[in-house]
Amino acid sequence: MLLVILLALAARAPRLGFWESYAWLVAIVVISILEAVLIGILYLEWRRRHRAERSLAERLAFEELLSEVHADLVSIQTEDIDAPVMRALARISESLGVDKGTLMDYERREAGVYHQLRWSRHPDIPIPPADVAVHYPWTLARMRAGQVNRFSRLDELPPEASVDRRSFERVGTQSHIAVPLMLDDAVLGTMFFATVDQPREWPDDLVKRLQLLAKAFAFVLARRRSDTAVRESRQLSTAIVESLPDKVVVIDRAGTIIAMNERDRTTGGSFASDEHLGVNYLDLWRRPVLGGAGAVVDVRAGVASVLAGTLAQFATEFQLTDGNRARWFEFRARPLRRAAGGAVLARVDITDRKLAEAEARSMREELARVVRMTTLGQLTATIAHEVNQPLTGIMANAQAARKFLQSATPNLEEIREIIEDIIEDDQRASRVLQRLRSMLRRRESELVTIDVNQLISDVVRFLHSDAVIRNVEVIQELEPALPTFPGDLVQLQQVLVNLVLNGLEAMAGVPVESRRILIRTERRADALRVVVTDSGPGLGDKPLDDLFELFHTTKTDGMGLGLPIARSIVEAHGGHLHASNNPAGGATFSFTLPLAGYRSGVETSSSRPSMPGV
Amino acid sequence: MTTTRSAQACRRWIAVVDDEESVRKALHRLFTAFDLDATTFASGRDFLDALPERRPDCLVLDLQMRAPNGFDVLAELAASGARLPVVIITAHDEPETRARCLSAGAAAYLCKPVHDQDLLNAIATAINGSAG
Repeated sequence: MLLVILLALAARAPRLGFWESYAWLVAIVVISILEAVLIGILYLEWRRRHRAERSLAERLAFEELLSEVHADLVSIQTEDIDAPVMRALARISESLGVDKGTLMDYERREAGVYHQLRWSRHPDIPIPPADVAVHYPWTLARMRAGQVNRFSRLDELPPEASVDRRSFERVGTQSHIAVPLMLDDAVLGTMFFATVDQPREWPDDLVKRLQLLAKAFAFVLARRRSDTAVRESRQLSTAIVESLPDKVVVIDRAGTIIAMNERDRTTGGSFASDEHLGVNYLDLWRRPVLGGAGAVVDVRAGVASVLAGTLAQFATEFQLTDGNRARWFEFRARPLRRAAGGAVLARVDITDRKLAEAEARSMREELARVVRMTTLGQLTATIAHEVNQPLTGIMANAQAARKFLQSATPNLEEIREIIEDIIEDDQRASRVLQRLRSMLRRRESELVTIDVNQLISDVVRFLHSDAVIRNVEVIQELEPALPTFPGDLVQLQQVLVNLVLNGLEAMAGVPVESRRILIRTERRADALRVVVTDSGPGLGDKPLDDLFELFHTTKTDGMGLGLPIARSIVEAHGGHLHASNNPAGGATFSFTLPLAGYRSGVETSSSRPSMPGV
Repeated sequence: MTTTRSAQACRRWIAVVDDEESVRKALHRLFTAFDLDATTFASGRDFLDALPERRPDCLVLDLQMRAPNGFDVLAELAASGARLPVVIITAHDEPETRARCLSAGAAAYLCKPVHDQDLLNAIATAINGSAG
């Protein structure tokens, strides 16, 4: 229109040159063009500023979102992360304006399906199938590989994602983004968002922001994993301790109880319970308890030594009276293998074992007594000799004295000497009878301090007559100053009597001048060794262990009990009895006797010590 | 060897062999109390070695001793032809031992502890039997 008016005006104007006629028109057009350009530039500038402001606002909103999500997630308890994670997911989804948001945890898996938290804008929005591996194989592979996976419209999916595409179509997904939750190089999970109604772009800067959020989630999942691992490990340790048949108490370096298992909580009485947690264990042992063989055991000192590191391990057995019943316990203290020190204490009830041992011991004692009686039967010549010799002296002396006294002037000095001799012979006979009585008495094990050399000398003296009658020379080679040990004197005498007597009998067919028994003692590291060697015919070619079988005998009048019972007595003292043939003929029986002495037995006692936890 | 000799020449002289000192001492006292001379020997070998020097009227012999034991002494006496009256005294009496001793030439077999009259009678009988 403007141009038409201008042209009409120009037509009415006097004929001028073209430039003169149209110069103003050109100026107007140029100015208009410049104005339009300026307007355009201003518009563009406005749009740029608008975009920058929007971007800044978005960034601020995101920063706010990020800090909120971080704050929410950092403080959560790892036992239940689902609610706070769900809250954060909803916040992010809403902020992004998407229709669906999902967070998948690769560690939590039930029936092959990864644990997922899902948010959706409307309840009507179809829920995708949970089995991601089946319905979204291509997407899952990329997610597990730690790749960001995105498409703005379904057409962007490559042909190899055809299964995924059908699954996306089925639930109406138009666009999708999946961001891996990574910590270091590990992919712990994935968060993904989708739109249903329309396609959507997922620009790079959005991806970067989402990756920042993904870090926050990854951190939560990692914490949950490590906390779960710690919890499970603790549960496992607790379960192991709980499952132990022993009563277990764990104490720290100072002796304070830091853990214990549940056992014996039901027995009540003097055993530890939860109330002892935090209590100093050493304070619970107020006084020593009664150990095996009547020994007093200072458990407190043993545990303290283990804690101090001066003892690698402390183990003992002791007895307590629980109600009317005596109970036996085995107790062990070992260092707790950790930098902070401490100890693990274990106690197990061994009452049943002890009772079985006591029964076995009682049977062995009865059998040993029978064997002693049998042995004495073999020794009747010796015993008759041992008793009748002093009686002969007494009788002859007494009759001589009576005759002297018939004289008018009896020699009182002579009579006094006679009476002294009578007393001496009487004492000798009495000692023989005492020894016999002790061998025949029905008795329980009686532990005394054993001097093995003394024991051997006594036995040799006891068997002297027998050796004399059989013309056997008995030689003793005893290592001087041997240490003593606790043992059952009568039983050990019986072992030696049996071995020496076997030797004496074995040499009946040997020329008188070669009949010899050598008894030797020697010190071993923590034991003594007694060796009895004879110069008889030896033990033959049969397996030597047969000798120790019950009722195995080579003698016409033997019962085959002597050696088995001898071995069982030695073993009850913690030692071993062996037989062997000498290279130069004859047999050797040797046994060891540990200085630790007789194994602890069931002794009853009325003392009732205070009983701490273990 | 302990010997008590009485001044009277007619007194009987008894030899005692026993390895137990207290028994030797007591028997020596007993014989002395009954006016018999007695010599004691601690082993059969001591006695046999001393025998050629002087023959006792009677030997009181223990059986259970280190070799030579009572049986060995009896056997050596028999082998040497010395017809010496021997009274065995033993602490361990067994029927077969008694039979064995008597068949080996012992005049009497008594069990310890022995009663004085039994012993003196046995010695007297043994000496008389030998003389007869």
